[in-house]
This record gives sequence, structure tokens and C-alpha cells, in this order.
Amino acid sequence: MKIRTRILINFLVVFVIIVTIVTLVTVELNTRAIRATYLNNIQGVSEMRDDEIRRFIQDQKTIIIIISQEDGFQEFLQSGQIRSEYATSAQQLLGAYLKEDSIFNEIFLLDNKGKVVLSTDKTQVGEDKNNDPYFVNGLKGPYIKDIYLSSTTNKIGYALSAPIIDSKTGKTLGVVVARVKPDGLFNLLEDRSGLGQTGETFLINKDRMFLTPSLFKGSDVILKEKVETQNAKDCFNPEEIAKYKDAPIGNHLNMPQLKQYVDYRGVNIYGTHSYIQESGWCLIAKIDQSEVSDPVRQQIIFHVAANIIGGLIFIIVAFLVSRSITKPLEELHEGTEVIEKGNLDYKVGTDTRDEVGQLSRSFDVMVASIKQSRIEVDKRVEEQTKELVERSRAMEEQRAAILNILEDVEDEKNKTAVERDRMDAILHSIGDGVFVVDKNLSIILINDVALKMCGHEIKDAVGKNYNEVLRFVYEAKPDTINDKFIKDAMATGKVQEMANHTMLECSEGRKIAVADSAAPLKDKNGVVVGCVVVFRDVSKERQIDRMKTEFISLASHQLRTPLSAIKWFVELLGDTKLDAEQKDFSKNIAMSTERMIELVNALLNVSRIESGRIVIAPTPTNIGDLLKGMIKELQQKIDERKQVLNTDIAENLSKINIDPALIRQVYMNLLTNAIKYTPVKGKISVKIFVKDTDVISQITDTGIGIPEEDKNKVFTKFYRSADAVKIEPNGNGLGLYLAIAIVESSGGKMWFESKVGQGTSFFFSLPLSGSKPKKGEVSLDS
Amino acid sequence: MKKILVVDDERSVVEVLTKKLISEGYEVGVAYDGQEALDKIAKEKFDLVLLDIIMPVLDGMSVLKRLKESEETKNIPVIVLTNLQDDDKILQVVIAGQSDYLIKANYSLEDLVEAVRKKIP
Repeated sequence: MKIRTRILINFLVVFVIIVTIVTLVTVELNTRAIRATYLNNIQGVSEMRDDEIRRFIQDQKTIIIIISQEDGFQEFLQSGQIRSEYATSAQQLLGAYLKEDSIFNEIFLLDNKGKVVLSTDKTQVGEDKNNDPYFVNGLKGPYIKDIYLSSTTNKIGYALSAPIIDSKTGKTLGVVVARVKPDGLFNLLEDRSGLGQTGETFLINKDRMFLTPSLFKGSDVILKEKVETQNAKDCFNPEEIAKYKDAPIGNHLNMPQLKQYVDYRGVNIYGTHSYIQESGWCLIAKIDQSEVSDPVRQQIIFHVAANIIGGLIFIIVAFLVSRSITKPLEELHEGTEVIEKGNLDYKVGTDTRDEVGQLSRSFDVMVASIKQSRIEVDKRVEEQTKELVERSRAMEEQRAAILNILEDVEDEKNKTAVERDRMDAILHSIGDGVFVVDKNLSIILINDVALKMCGHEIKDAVGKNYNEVLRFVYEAKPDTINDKFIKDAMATGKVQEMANHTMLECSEGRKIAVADSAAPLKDKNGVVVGCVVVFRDVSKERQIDRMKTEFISLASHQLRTPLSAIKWFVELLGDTKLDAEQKDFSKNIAMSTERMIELVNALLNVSRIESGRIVIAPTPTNIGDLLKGMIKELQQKIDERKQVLNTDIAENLSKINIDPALIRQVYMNLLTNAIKYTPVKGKISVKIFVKDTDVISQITDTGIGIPEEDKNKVFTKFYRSADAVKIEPNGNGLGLYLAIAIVESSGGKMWFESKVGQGTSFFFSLPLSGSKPKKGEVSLDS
Repeated sequence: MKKILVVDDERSVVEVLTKKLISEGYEVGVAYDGQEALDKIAKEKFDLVLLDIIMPVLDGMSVLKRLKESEETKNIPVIVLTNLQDDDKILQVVIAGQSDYLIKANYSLEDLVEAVRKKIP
């Protein structure tokens, strides 16, 4: 939206709101004021009129009383109307009243019988008026008779009457009656001051007939038209009349408030009324509603017109003001469009002194500086373009030189390609899986056998970390990567064997038992730059192994059954009566059977360990106490051979988390060996100490020692050295094999030091951090 | 007199056990397979059963299971006598069946009698 439109709309909205509020308030206030003025006026007039009429009636009564007190009338009536001089003077008196004051139409005297005895209208004399109210009431005191149409004069008027009383005797002599012209009363009511155009006051009698002229219908209505309006009826309501009784003049408490009525014409009016107690008339004062509301309407029309004109002027002013604000902005906008099209020489040139003018002049300055900097940029671009052209020429030369070199390189490459092909041929003709990794463990070479084992494509293998392609895991712990041999090979620079029970896990979950080695790859300086890994599928070998283990297990079970029968029968035999020789035989049978059972149990343990199904259940164990307990068990055997056993167990050994039953087996094997192979009276020493993160147990005998050529066979299954067999023919060659298997599966290592003729020390370490538990299926036979 | 049923398909084992138990003052019944054992137990009342596992017709595990299932026989103490050890599943059932078990070859007759005495003093 344009600024100008926005300004205009804002102005207009504010204007309309303010003017509407002001108009509404003014009209409301004016309306009230006008209405109050009119209504106050009519109320005031009606009150004033009420007072005037009451005073007027009093005045009239006063007049008739004064007339009634004329001596001439008394004398005339006292004389019994006989003396003509009284009659003449009374007649003159009447005439004088008629002459002096033109309000009277006629004045006449009635005697105390009601007969007209003297009158300004001589035709009336002798008429009998004893039934006329002015006579009946006039006898009692001053009386005013309603306006009526005189039957004799055929004139509208009212009559005043008062008794003529003998001032000496107090006797009523007669009644003076004056027929009065209504003009005085009419004048009173026709005074229009404060009544506006349609206001009027008039009197009605108790029959609700007009007594005074109507503003709208003239004097023809008098005594001819009845006023049927509600306020006229209210006025003669007896309850209403009672309120006025004895109220003095000037008291208008009983006058009702102005109300809306429909008047005798059927027009809506504001009106009020007042009961005139002296004469039993009702004064009605009213004004047309339209006269009251017309000025209000005019007021509103005037205000609305004034507002519309004011609004138009305001809009014109707002338009001009907004134009003066937006014009420089539009000029500025036009200027920017021109400059945007590239004409930097254009100047907006606004000369106003306000902020827009300043902005416009700043804009001109800015355009000028843009122009300047553009000239500079153009210049710099030109310079740099020149420089670039020169550089690209130099690069072109370099490229040519490189191309020459590349040609030479290509020749070399062809030569090496021949060699590489030869190497590839060798690599791919090897029956085992082979792959080579660089020092970042990414595969750089791999042969078909290695690829086919898990069905890889060469493009998926080369360049990737070998763990992403060939996952070597432990058979027992398929979640654990077993690539220690590769890392060790690279770290130590020596050929490393794969750990036993290594599996190659293919992506689809298939596992292949593998075996073999990793050899470090060294550059000519002897620095390890990678590793060659050779492996082969040993599934079949593994299967044969398993079958062998199962066979041993089954055979051992089957062997144990007859053995137990033999064992028990020999036991029973021992209880029978035997001679010395028989006893000796049965003892030998029992010993052989026992050895046989031990052998079978040992074989079972071997098969369990080899099958990897052994349970390892670590519990916190003090191995010092464990060893001491075992020495106590074996003490008898030591004593039999008169050997000395020294113990050196480190103090404050903390408990370590190992499987006590398994470690007990290790100690048992090592200790029984030491006792067996140490000569009688020889020395045995046991030692437990902490080194780094391990607890190391050392069992040293002073036996024959292990000759150099046998050292690498010591832990082999069923192996017994020739010297050992000489000393102890009953060994089964499984003890050390079992011991090292247990130690290794508990996370430790086992080794020995030996000198022929001096003795042997067996060591095994256990990690202070303890063994990892393993859920197997079997435990060892003790 | 306490009455013991010896169940084993190995006749020499049955014989040696019978002799030993009789000499220890027990009355002994014998069965050479599982079915025969169940039939005997149904006919006679035994205070204890010595039970082999690997047997023809019906093996020791099934016998043990049936004995423990029946209201009448479930309170008869059973000692499993076996040379099987590796079969962990068998051991679990034996333990769950609240039976003792002995590896035959590893125990002497005296040990066995000791175990019997503990069960039926």
C-alpha cells in the first residue's frame, strides 16, 4: 500500500472516530438542553397562568363585592323600590359601572326573592331569577358563574354575583349580578409568551367543554366542543381535585409533571393541567411534541452536514500533507530505478530540507561514490585479467612439460604392470586365502580364495578396512572381533598365529572355522608398513576334532560304568576273609582301578576343555588361602617323602575374581608334580606375588629339570619326558595340558623356567581384574 | 526294615549294590530297566530308589519324572546313580526333581551307603 494511501486512511479513521464521538455527545447534550428549555417554559407558563387565573377570579370577586357595597343599592333595596329617587340614583350607579368599565355587558339587581328589580337592560326588569345559580349562590357570598351563553343577550360570558347586605341590620337585601365580557379572561389565556408556535393554554369546565378559545379552532369551540383527552379526565378526577383543596396561590405542588398526551386534535403533545378550585375549572397547558423535537432534528442535520463538510476539508488537507511527504520519496524511488538501469550520472536533486531531503542528498552522494568505486573496480579487473592471461600462458607451458614426463611414466607403468600381473598370478594361485593390508589396516591386495570364502567381489574389498570385509571372531564369543594376531604382527614385527577357535563371520551370518597366521610387511628400512594375512578354511579339521572329543567323552562314560562295578566289587572283596597274598592282589586291583578312573576323568576334562564348553564361574577368592588349604591336604604326602616346603605368600593379597574350583585344579596338578619329581628330603617352594596387573603363582621343585629339547613339548597333551617316566611311571601326561588350558581360559598365562639337574619353576599369572564369567555346559571332574 | 529298589541295566552293578545294601541291613528289590522299576514300585512300597539314567526300554529321567508326577510316589526319595556328567540338561532335571545324584565311578560303596543313610535314617 502506498504511504499516501496509508496516511489518508489513518487520518480518516482518526477523524471519523473523533467527529462521531463529538457529534454524538453534542447532539445528545443539545437535545437535552432544547427539550429542557421547551418543557421548562411550558411548565413555567402553566404555573404562571394558574396563578394569574386564580388572582383574576379573586379580583373579579373583589370587584363584585365593592359593587355590592354601594350605598345606593342598599338604599334602593331598603326603600322597597318605592322611592323613585333611590331608584334613579341606583339606576345611575349601574349605568356608571357599565360606562366606566367596559368589562360588563350588563349589571342588574335582584331582590331577596330573586326578581330583577333594576337592570342596565331594562327589558330584564321583572324577570324572576330565583332558580339561577348566581342568585342561589350569590345570596351566600361572592360567586362567579361559569362562562355560559346568555339566553337573553346571546353572548358568551360569565356572571359575577354578590349579596347586598344591610350594613346596619346585616340582613340580606338582595343580590347584585354582573354579566361580564370574557375578553379579560381570554386575553389572559391568549398571552402566548413562552409558548412557542404550538403552545397554548385554555380552560375547560367540569363538563370538559372549552371555556376559552382554542389556538387551532378559534372561539367557536367555546361551550360547543368537549375535550375528550386523558389529562382533561384526570383533571376532574375527584381524588385529584381533593389534592388542590385550600392550596394557596403560588403553590404548584399538585400540578402534575409534563407528560405525553394526545390532545383534542389527535396530535402528540407534552402537556400538564391544573384544577382551579375557585371556579371548578381546569387549566390545560400544552405544546406539540413536534415543536420540541424539530429543533433537535435540525441540530442533528446541522451537525452531520458540518461534519461531512469538515471531513471533506480534512481529507483534502490530509491529501495535500501526505503528498508533500511522499512526493520526495517518489522522486527518490524514480531516481533509484533510473540508477538501477545503470545511469549513475542521474541525480535525484530534491531540495527539501527535511529528513527525506537529507536522505535523497545522501543517496546522490552514495551514487556518486559507487560510480567512483566502479571505475576503480573496472580498472583493477582490467589489470587482473591481464595478469591471468599471462599466468595461463605459463601454465600451458608447464602442462606441456608434465605431459612429457607422463609419457615417461607410462613406459615405467607398463613395465611394472607386467610384474604386477606376475605377482597377481602367484597370489591367486595360492590355495589359502591371502590378503594384504596397509598400515591403516585397509586391504590393498586380496586373492580369489579369500574373496570366495564369503562371496565378496574384489571391488567391495580393496580399499576397505579388513574388519568390514573379513570379520574374524572368537568361536565362543561371536560378538568379539578377534584380530589381535594381525595387530600383534604389526606391532611386534613378528609372525603371529591366529588364536584357536577363530571363526570367519560372513555378512549373511554364516561362520567358517579358520586358522593361520599374519606376517608383518616391512619396507627396506625394516619399518612395518602393512601385514600379510594367510588363512584357510579349517571347518573339516574342526569337525574331526569335535568328533574326536565326543568320542572320548562317550568312551569315557562307557568306560566308567564297568570301572565302577570293578571298584565296588574290589571294595566288597576287601571286606571278605582274605589271606595276605589275596589282600595284596585286591589292593593292587583297587589301585589300578583308581588310576584307571583318574585317567578316564582326566580324559573327560580334556575333552571338555577342548570342546570349549567349560563353565567359568568367578567368585572373589583369596588364592593365598586356597593354596595354603591345598598344602595342608598334601602335607601327608610331603611328610612321607620327608620334603621341605617353603611358602612365601605376599601379604595383603586382595581377593580376586576367579573360579576357585578351576584354579584349585591348577595348583593341584603343579603341587603333585612338584612332590612327585622332587627327590626325598628335597626342597619345594611356593610363592605368590603381585607384578603389574597380575598375581603370579610360582611353584619351584628341586627335581631333575627339563632338558632343552623337551621344553617346547611340556604343555603338550599326553607328553611325558623319558626322565619323568623313569621317576614316576604312573603319570598320564594330561596334568600340565589341563593346567595351561584352565589358566588361559581364566585370562592368565603359564610358563616355566628350568635347569637340568637343578629343578623347575612353573609360573602362572591371573589378572587382578579377575576372570570373565563364561556360561558353559560342563564343569571339571575333580 | 527299609526297602530299597536298585534300578540299573548293568547286572554287575545291580549285584554289587544288592550285596552291599543287604549286608547293611536293607531289604532290596531290583529292576533292570525303567519300565520294570515303575511296575515294581506300583506293586510294592519302597523307601528309596537308586536309579541309573541310561537304560533300555525306559530311561532313568523318564522314571524320575513319572515318580515325581504321581501323588503316591512323589515323596519316595531317589538317588540318581550315573556315570553321565556332561549332560547339563539331565542334571537340571535331577536337581529340579529334588534328587541326589552320584557319579558312580567317583564314589566308594561306603560313600553310597552314607548317602542312603542320610535319606532314610
